[in-house]
Amino acid sequence: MTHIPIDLQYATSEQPDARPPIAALRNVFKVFGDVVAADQLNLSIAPGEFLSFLGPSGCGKTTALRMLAGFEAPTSGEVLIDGQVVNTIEPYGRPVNMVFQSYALFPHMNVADNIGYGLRQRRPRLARAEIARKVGRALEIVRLTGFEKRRVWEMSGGQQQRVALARAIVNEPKLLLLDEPLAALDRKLRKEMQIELQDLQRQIGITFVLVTHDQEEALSLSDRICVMREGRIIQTGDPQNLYDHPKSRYVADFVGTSNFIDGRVEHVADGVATLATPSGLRLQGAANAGLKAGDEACLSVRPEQIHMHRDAAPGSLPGTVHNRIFLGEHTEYLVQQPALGSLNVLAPRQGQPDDLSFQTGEPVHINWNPARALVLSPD
Amino acid sequence: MTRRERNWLLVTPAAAWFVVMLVLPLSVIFVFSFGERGPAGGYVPAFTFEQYANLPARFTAFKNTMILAPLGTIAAMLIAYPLAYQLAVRTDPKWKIILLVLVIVPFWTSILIRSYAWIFILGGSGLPALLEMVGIEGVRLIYTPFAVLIGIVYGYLPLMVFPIYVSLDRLDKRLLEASADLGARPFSTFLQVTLPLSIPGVATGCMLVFILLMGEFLIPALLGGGKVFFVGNALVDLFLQSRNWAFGSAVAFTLIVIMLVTVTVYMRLIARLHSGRQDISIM
Amino acid sequence: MTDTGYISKWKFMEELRRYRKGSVSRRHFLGVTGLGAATAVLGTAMPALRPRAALASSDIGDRVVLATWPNYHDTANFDMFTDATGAFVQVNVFGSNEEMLAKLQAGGSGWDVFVPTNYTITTYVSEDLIEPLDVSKLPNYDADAFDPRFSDAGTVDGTLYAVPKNWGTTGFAVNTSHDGGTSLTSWKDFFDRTKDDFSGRTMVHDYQLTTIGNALKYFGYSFNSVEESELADAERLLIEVKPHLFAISSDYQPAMRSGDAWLTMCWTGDGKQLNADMPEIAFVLGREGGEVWSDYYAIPKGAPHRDAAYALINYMLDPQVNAREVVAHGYPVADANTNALLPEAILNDPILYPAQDLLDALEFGAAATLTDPNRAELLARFKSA
Repeated sequence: MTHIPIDLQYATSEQPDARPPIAALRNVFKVFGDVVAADQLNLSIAPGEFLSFLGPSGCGKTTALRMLAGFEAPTSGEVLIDGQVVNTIEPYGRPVNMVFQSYALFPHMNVADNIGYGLRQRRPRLARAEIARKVGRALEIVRLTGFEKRRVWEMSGGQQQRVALARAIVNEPKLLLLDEPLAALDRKLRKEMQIELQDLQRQIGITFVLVTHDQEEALSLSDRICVMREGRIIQTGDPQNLYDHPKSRYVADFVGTSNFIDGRVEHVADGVATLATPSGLRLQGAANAGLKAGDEACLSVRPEQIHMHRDAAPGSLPGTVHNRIFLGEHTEYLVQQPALGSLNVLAPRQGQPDDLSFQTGEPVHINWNPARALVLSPD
Repeated sequence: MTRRERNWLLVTPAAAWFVVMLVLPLSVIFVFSFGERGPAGGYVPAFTFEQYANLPARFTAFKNTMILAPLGTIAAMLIAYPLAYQLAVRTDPKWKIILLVLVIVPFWTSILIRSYAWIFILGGSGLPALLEMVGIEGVRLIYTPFAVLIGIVYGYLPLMVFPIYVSLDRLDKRLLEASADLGARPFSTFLQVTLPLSIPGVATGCMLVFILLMGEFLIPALLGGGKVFFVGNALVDLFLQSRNWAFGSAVAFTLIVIMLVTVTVYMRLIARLHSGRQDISIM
Repeated sequence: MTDTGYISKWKFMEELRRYRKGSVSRRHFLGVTGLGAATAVLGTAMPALRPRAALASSDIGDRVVLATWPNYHDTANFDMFTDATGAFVQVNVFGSNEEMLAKLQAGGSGWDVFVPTNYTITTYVSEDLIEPLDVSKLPNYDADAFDPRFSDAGTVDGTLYAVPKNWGTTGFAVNTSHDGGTSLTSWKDFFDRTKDDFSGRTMVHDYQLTTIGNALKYFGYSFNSVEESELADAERLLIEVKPHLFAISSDYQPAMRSGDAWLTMCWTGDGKQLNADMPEIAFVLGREGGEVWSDYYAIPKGAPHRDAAYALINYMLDPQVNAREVVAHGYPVADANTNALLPEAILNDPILYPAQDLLDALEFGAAATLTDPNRAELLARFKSA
């Protein structure tokens, strides 16, 4: 059993950035009637980072974004942008721009007029030529050069998405807010736009704040992810950190997929917890902070961490292949284990000769590295 | 039954309506307008342009109509817009229906009774008496063009409010947020987003009210005291009093032509204002 | 109106009710509003609105359609007629003789009985729109009891086409509290004072016969003149007076009652009603003359229920029935048998029965006046001037 320096890893991603934040939420509450939409939000957003709010619908992520944009005022607490408290500043006074879920393009204006809208609101007025130049540059960035005179309703969803992006970035906001910007696109287009968004963010260096319920999107785009639940921020971290070291079953479940085995903590030593399952098995894993002997807990082990063998190995558990789905690079197995129930196992094709792949109904032995398993509070 | 036959069957009622209610009466009016008045009134077939030559005798009626109908339309629009805006944009959805119903309630009473209420309000013991109390004396309201204007605006306001309300209610509120987000102050947002996008409703309302006003006769008769003479009043007199059907037909046909020309020009203008937009329908 | 001039809602409703009660003046109003046609349609389309025929005892059919003037009948009489005969009286009210004529000319009126005014009957005869009457079917018609002055027009070329209903005069009503102690007695006074101390307070009818006729009387011309030069004088006077007019409308009761108008051309019944409610309003017949008129019952050509039409006319000519009519609407009758049943107060009322010398100066409207296109055009020019 190896000791895993869990705390060290956490420190790298949760240590506050040395630079002053571009935006921050301090003890922010937002109450709608008797619904708490934001419950003590604390967050600093570093300049140039790509931050995502991730959570199911109704978790408060959109409220958080709208408070940054200025569409909602916090019930209490402070919203800061560029070091200034902006609680009472209207949306039109904030150096922030938003890309709306359904783009909210102005249907009575062509592409160029839509993109130039923000520039035309500036006082003192910008010269026409200057506006045209900036609009042209923005179109270039979103690869829509030549579309200036197009009517927005004539364009495809992906093109409208880019117009919406261009309309926001042309203003060079301190913060670009994206409210589920890709939700309306089909799967293939969404993948393409994800890559484009990431490229764009690197290219122009604006801080992006994204709201999404799509974990894959959050994982692939973000520098940092805030997982939200019922108005609270549950955990913040970079994608890999969240995936490898979720602090709760909720996060482990929402970020990626995992097998959960319920039980009771028998003892904790050196950051390693021993869990007793109701069926009498004893399993070990890295202990979540604060767990102590006697607590209800669950062991989380990712499908790709489970290894399958034809022969028994020390500490391995017997099981039967119940189902098998071929996914190309991987094969997903559903293994029935008498004491633990069904477990998801993801086996890479690599190093698994064709003749060695397991068949449905075949008896197998499974094990995993206890250092790769986590013992979490069950929330 | 083939698809083609079915389509014909579906179109038939509308076509029959169109022929019976529109084409036939118009043809009759057109033919009559070239005839002559009988010795005891009515119509005698003839082919003469005499009736059209006589049109200048109703010049004032046309002039009054062409001034007060557009003026009434614009006044109704200026009053209806803020009202519709308040209802569509600012009102809590749970109050909307009640307030909308309140806008229609006056329609439940005959225009006759409502105009009588105005005769009393604008009459000497009504508003002028109140004005006298605050020191403004000698105001004559009833039986003036102004009284007719008030009656028109009052009577046709709901027709104006509804289309504007619908276009404002349908307006995607995120567009307003987008505008604010892009730095536009509320009034700029109104001018650049709300107003242009509600033009279809305004256009529809103006069209409805204008067309009806061109044929109006009851309100001028009741609130204008017979001194504010619309083409509609001229027609009532020609058909029901002097029974000069030929001249009446010529006046009516001229009114229809003026209306068609005005409406066509108006629609062209609106269409140009929204060049190429497909979501604009005027009628 | 209270002392402070504040309009309470009770007062408002009361005013409105008074307006509605007294507003519908005899000839014009419903014509302008088109309500006459509306009531007719309603009566036909909604049979449930009609009283059920009680014990239909005769074979005259289930209904009779009457085209008449507003506020011109005692509805209790109709109910009794229905009870007696089983025929329901469907009433269509009209605004003007011109409108009645227009409807009959257009054809398909569906009327059984109508109420033309004296000067229209020859036109109906020449246009072949009116049925000669069979006196044997009108046992209640006692021709000798009628003052021939008000019954003559019913007979054209020796044929009886119509029997008299009521008669009346056209004068003016003046609010005497505003006449400065100098009373108005003539049409000259009417127009001259309009340009002077009654400026902005005078109403004239929206009706060519009376408005032009009374303007002609100002110059001493015939009420019925179609003489070009005389009409030109009348037009000049009317256009001169127009800026001083409060309104051109035959619906003058509300304005007279509210005090907005002080002087108006006025028919007998309206004069009587105004005077009864507001004694300061006097009804005056112009010294130069003016109009006297007589209305008749007649049957249009092609009446769908001819038997019922005769039954109704005969019933209305019953002196008992006719007396109840007079008490209800306040217009005099020319029938001695009916007058014998009326109370003294009505018979001695100078509004209903003016002094003989005033009456002698009055003229009946003429057929030519009704159909003259120049007079119609003159009124249109006056109204749109």
